[in-house]
Amino acid sequence: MENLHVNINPELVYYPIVSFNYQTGICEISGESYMEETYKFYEPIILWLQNYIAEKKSIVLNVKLTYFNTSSSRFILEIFYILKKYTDAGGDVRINWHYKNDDPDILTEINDFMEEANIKITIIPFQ
Amino acid sequence: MNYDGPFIIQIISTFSKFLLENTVATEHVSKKLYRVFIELAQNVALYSSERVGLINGAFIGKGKVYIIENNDAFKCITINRIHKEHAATLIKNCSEINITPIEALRTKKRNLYKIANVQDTGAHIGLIMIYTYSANPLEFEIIDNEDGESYFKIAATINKVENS
Repeated sequence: MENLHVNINPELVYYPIVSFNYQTGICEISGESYMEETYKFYEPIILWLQNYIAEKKSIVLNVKLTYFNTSSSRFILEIFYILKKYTDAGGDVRINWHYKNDDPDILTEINDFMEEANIKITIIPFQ
Repeated sequence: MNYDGPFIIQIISTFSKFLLENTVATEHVSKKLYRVFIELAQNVALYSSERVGLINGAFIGKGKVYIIENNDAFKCITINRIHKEHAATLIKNCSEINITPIEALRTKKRNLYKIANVQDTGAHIGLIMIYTYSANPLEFEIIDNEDGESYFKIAATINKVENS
């Protein structure tokens, strides 16, 4: 299984940068997410994640999204559902969400994700 | 600022960045305007019944957007054609959002995620997010023209001094 790195074009700011490392289990998604045809972007990410956890390896997901639209939220939540299921099956999962500390709207969204997926997300504010 | 045409992602992205970088307001208010604009614009892109074919074979919604500024607030308005049969649902959803407490709306949003098709989360969640970000009631109306076409007009207001 290979690492997953998605950086479609730095100028297309509506695509986040994705870097999922198979060797270390450290996975990161950063930037903004409001592209068209959201499922086409997130499907390979979700597939990679499902294949990765099938190998029973530990995972650290670092989320550094500063904005995501409604369609993207659905897929971010899907990722959390998958990780919740893995946690319940004994998988070693840590999720960190880095957010700018003067952005209460993002904080609300993170808390909603936690509540909906019933999974712990460590919230890490930065200035 | 105003625009009339297809709401392709490149245009949405360019306009939203312009708003974020050139709005004279606090960073938090600028971000709210940025997010409200994107949600409203993508509602037009996804749900306008007036579709424009793109070179890649895809179709995208066409409509209008206006950004108006006064001393106290920014107002973001979109207008797009709809199928007549969708008018009642849009009015019902917007009306319900305006009278629902914020905590109940958050619960409603999470419930909608569960039932939404994975390829299409539907306009309803987007409307909730527009209301949540703007922190003001949605203004909306259905406009019927003399050709028998229906248009959905929605406006979100973002206060320059945030609500306490």
